[in-house]
Amino acid sequence: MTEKLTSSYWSRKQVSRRQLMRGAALGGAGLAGAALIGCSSDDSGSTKVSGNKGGTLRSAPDIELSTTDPAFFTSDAEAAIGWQAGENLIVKQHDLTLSGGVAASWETPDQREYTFKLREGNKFHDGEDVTADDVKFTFDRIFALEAPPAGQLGSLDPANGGSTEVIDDNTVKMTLDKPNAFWLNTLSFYQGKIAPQHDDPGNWGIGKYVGSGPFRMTTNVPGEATQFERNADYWDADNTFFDAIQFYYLPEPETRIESLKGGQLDQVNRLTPASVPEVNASGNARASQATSASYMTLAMNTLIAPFNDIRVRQAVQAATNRDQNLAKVLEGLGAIANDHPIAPNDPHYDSGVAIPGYDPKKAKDLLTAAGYADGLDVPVTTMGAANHEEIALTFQEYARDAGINATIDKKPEDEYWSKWWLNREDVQMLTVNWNGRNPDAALSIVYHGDAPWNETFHQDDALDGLIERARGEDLEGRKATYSAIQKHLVEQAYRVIPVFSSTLMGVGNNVQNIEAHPSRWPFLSRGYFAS
Amino acid sequence: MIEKATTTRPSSVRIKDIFKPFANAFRTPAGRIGLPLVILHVLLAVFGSYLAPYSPTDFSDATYVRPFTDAAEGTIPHILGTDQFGRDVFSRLLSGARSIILISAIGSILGVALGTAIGMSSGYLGGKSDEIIMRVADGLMSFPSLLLALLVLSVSDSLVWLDGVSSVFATGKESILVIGTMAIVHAPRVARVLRSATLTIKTQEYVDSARLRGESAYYIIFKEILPNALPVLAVEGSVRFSYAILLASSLGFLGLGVEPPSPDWGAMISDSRSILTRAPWVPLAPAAAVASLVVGVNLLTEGIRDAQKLPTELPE
Amino acid sequence: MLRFLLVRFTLIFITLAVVSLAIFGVTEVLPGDVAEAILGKSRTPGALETLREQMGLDRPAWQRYVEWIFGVLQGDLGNSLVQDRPVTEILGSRLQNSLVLAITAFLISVPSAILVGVWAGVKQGSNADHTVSVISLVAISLPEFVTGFILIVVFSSTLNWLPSSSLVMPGASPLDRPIILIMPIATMTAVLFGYIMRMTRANVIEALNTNYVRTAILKGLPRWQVIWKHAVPNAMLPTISVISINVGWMLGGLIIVESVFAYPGLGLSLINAVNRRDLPMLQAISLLIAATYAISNLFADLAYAWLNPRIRISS
Repeated sequence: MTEKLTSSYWSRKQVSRRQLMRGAALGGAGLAGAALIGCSSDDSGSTKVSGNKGGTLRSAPDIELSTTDPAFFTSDAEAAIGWQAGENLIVKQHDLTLSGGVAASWETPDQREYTFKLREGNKFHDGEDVTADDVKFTFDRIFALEAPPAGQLGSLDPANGGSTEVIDDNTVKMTLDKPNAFWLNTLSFYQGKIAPQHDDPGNWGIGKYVGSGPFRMTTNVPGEATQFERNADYWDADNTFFDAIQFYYLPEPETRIESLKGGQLDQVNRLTPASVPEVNASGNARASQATSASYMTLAMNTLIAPFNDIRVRQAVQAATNRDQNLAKVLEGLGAIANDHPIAPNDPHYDSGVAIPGYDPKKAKDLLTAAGYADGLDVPVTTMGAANHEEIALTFQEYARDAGINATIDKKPEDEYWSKWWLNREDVQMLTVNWNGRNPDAALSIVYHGDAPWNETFHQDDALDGLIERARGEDLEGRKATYSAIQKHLVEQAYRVIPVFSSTLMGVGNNVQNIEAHPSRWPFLSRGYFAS
Repeated sequence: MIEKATTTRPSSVRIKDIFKPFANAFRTPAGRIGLPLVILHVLLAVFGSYLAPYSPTDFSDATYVRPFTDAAEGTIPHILGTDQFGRDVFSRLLSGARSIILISAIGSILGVALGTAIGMSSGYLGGKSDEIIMRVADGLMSFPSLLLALLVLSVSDSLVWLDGVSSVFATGKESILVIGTMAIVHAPRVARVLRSATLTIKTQEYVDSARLRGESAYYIIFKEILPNALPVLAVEGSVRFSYAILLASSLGFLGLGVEPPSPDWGAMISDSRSILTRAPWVPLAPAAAVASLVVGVNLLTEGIRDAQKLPTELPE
Repeated sequence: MLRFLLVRFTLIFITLAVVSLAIFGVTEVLPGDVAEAILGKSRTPGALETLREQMGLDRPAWQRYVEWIFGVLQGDLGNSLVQDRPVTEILGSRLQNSLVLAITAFLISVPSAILVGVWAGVKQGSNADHTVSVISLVAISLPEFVTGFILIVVFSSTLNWLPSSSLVMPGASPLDRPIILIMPIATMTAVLFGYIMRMTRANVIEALNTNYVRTAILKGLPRWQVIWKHAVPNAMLPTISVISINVGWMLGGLIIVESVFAYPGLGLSLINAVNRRDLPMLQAISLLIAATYAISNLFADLAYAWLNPRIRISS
């Protein structure tokens, strides 16, 4: 007995989906994390804002939308749905401070055991209370399903000795396998929306989302629109002003920006660097910018030729012109990156690790040593959104002098994460964009051997050991370990990361209190219309 | 329908006969503008890449340069400006001419050849096979050409045998598919036109006498009918060429049939969407190029028609 | 006449059969392994198997074809592989949106093109005629996306009078904000107008040169009567064929215009279906478009036959 094709196709996609996740903490969160060791915090996250109630915010995220199961959120649209209709235990604000979401307060004596007191009277959109059972359910299922966040949540993984316990209805205790200085910061990961135990997200299907967030999702049609209405029972409903939010899925990045400029949209999650001057000059909208550890990368499939050979990967590294990437792709709105995800303004960044320069001759020599004296043909998989194609074009242009003949294989935007990313058979190299995270999360989610999102499919036990060790060390110890990791990553060149990219968000002139977030998260719920 | 079929003596088709309609067209006012315009484009297609001052794909630091601005000391000016990567628009334009004209020309020649063969045979032989062929042709003609192209290109990834063909011709898989699709799209329409021409011509005396002489059908079709169908063929071919260019540029615009960073005119226009306000010359240059080419071909078509003093035909 | 009608209707069915065979053949027979074509090679073997089972790909092609056709005739166009909803549900509003665009463009361009064509034909050789001819030549020489882009650059980017993309909120109708319709309709109208006007003009010129009309002039009939009662009706016959052919062109043009302006109609759905290998959607939309064209040809034939006394009487 078989169900209809599409629904089983759909649910199969949900379970086996490996999708790119975006969003998480920014570098520098180490500091913020340190400040919370041993302290408890209250729910002072809501700064009182006086705004006009009412209005419908019209927003346009990137369009791929395949699931509403928070554990599997990957794309911009999915994450955006989570931010409006769901809520984490802990939320990271624009200034990188942490505030309470579902959790009202927390304490940790040793950065290994964390006790969270949940807000009283907090409810899901279906009326049921949000309890400690739901929190345990949320995290347990991530590990049981081997969902993508399991990578960065390694400290809590039962397989490593971690556990989530229910103490009472409103108290949850997390015990990590070892102390982790970044843990609270990591808990703000965008798949971390607390899910209802009584209504398993695995059964929802694309039209439904049950969360406890400031807005309730009322309809969801992929490729068309998602609608939200204000949740009057939200604990901070006093600071939520829009009556409703609408997401529109417009087919091309340019049409979204054009609609913003023309006043048909109030907010766009992503602006291209080229459009920033135009948006600011449009008279209807402005570009909001935030420094970020978000980055662009060329990920190489280390399982198959030619990138199973480290010399070829290093050749690609030498064939990459980072300055041109910053100048042409980002138009200066970002920073040079060093093939690892720790940003220059992060205290853990080691400026002593040399940045590989653009050296076509060195690349050629490496290729010859690897057996590609006549040059190397590389198909680069990419898509037409989020600056991917520009990165691919720039690589193609400058790698030519190194004897690398790159061809661009452009895929549709609305299936990139579900069909082409993490594709270990058909794809040799592809462009990826990652949102900024704290150093531990950024490394754990993609470089650790156990990470579901290990997009280069490598197995590197030494690296795993370093990543795990760093979590429990003090600042000096961490700096030393991360320095070793940085050197190692530059050497191994699993991925070439040429640039960090600033967050660029487009906001209508009539909209207040919505700004670009360092982790590129669209916090829309506190916004309001000026008139 | 042809009202005045010639009753010239049959002869085999010589090369110069193919060029005659175009030469004649030059005598008409429309052709006087159209033919040089088309020839200019063809020359650009052939020699364009050698004339280009810059490489069409090279990045440079001179981004968003407006057209007709003075260049820095010792550098070649960017006549038509540059895009967001600093690539010279003029050079890209010249390089793009080759692919669009080549693909359109080959596609329409194939389609015309196929359609002529089918249409003449069907018209001459008549009977059941004629009926069947015309029904199939009608069916295929119910597809707007873009739709048929999209259908074929949608499965292009899975056609593995195409890789072999494309490596023989040293070109992309998509180009081969586009050419093939064009041939399929144009053939039925050409077949219809040639079939009606054949129906008229085959009533002529010399055809009868050839048949009585015992000539084979092949001989009659290609040696008697075809030379007299040449005027119609010339017009059809020209019309098909203009449609082929429109189709090729539309497919390029949709991102099908080309690979970045190839300077396909259609793709240049759609890629420029993000910088439309900042650099309107980037899409306007290829737009003008496509427009001038198709205008040229359309004028040429009119010229050919006028030169034959045929009553105006339906466009398809 | 009745016989003529019967013959025509039978032919239409044959044509539609050929159309459906062509669509099915290209999308399901040509690619070899359809499941792989849709999901890609490295999908989990389980997903490939499920897809194969659900689409019944283990059955022979002709069987699947027949099943598809039966479904279509009952109004079941299958489910979109991407959106997990019946195709008919998704296409309902899209079709409406496209119809708004197409019908408006048609209603604007056809009468005006005929009028201008007649006028130009009558004033053949005048400066006005030359101007109109040149403008229409340029109009038909520009691909739709070029026309669209030029309009966007002029009216959106530069003058800021019109929105550059035609955003329609789902559930809303494009008629709620008519301003978004202006540029897409203008783009479609431009080419339609160009073709029909040129055809009409040429036919009118030809009709004016017939003995029949010359006789009427010599008989001393007033000029307007000669034009409108004698020349134009004769000129209309071939013009009707051109109009029906342009319906077909317009359906293809919709695809491009909707893409340029991000207008949520059939054309945009088609492109999405192509990109995402959404087979049922692709097949359904192709069938819809080709069938519409075939049927409009039928109407054109019928109109031609009805207007042409020779056919009406003799059949």
